[in-house]
Amino acid sequence: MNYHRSNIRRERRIGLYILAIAIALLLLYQNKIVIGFFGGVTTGVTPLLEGGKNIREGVGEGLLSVLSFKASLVAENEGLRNKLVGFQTKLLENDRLVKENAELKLLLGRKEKEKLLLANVMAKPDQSPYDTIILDVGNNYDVEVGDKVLVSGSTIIGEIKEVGAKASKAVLLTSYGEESGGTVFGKNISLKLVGRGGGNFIAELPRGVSIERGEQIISDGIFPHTLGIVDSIFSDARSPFQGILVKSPVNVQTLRFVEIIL
Amino acid sequence: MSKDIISRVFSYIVIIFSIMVFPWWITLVLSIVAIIYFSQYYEIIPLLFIMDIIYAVPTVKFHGMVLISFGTAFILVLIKEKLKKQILLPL
Repeated sequence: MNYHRSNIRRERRIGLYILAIAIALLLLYQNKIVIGFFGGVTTGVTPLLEGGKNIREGVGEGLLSVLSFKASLVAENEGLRNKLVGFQTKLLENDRLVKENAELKLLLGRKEKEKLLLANVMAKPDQSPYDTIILDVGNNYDVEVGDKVLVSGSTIIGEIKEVGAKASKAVLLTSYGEESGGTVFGKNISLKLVGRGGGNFIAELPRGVSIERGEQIISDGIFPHTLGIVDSIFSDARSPFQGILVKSPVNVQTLRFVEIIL
Repeated sequence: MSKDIISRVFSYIVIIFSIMVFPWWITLVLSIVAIIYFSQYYEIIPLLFIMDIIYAVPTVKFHGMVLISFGTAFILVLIKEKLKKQILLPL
């Protein structure tokens, strides 16, 4: 009986030694064992892993792109809303300033005598090589040669050149070679605008004169109107002048109605 | 009515429509095609004269001239007839 018990204890001890050695070996060679197992497993697992990765990336990218597209749209929408609010505020301020300006001029004895006449555009400038627009009002509405043609009551686009009984012809100020005087708004720099066609003017100023893109060019006089916006400035090292390309803010090809200053 | 007269009248109507509706360069192309296609297409001259009457004003672009379309049509017809004679009936 004692013999049997001692055998059992010995076996248990040997078992413990083997377990301890196994744990020690496991601890000592864990990296190699893991790598060994991994090396065996990868052969079968790699395609699955790659597939999984592709699916994950595909779904992730798709999901991300959808989310980011939506996010960008939301951001754009938000930005545009903010801009709109800004513009509405500016428009209100603009209306107020225009009224205030007219009132101040009236107080100082300058009453606006402009009488505007609405006219329908019957022929657009691309219909002839002359860059003319035909309007449906003539002598019947007291239109005269030299009357200015406006858009939205603020931008001058042309001048009446011929008047018929019930129609009149106006030449665009941006028509090639047409000359008109203007002033840089806020700086009071006078310049001569020469039409270049396609809704563009060109002007020249000495290189030392500071002018920036986006500045407004207005007509001369106490009740000025917009002629164009400075689109680009270019200069040549050999020339003492800088060229200024001024763009009319109005697309004449899409016009249906204009106003004539009588 | 002969087929030639019908096609001439049709081309005339198309060019009138083009003068009223289309950009001027389309009218120019149609006019050149008609001048080349039809023999002695002199009727284009008064047609483009009407175009000048409708649209033209003295501008710097054309040095104050107002019969540009008329003049162009006149010269084109003359050149075409001259060329036709020289090509088809060489002396």
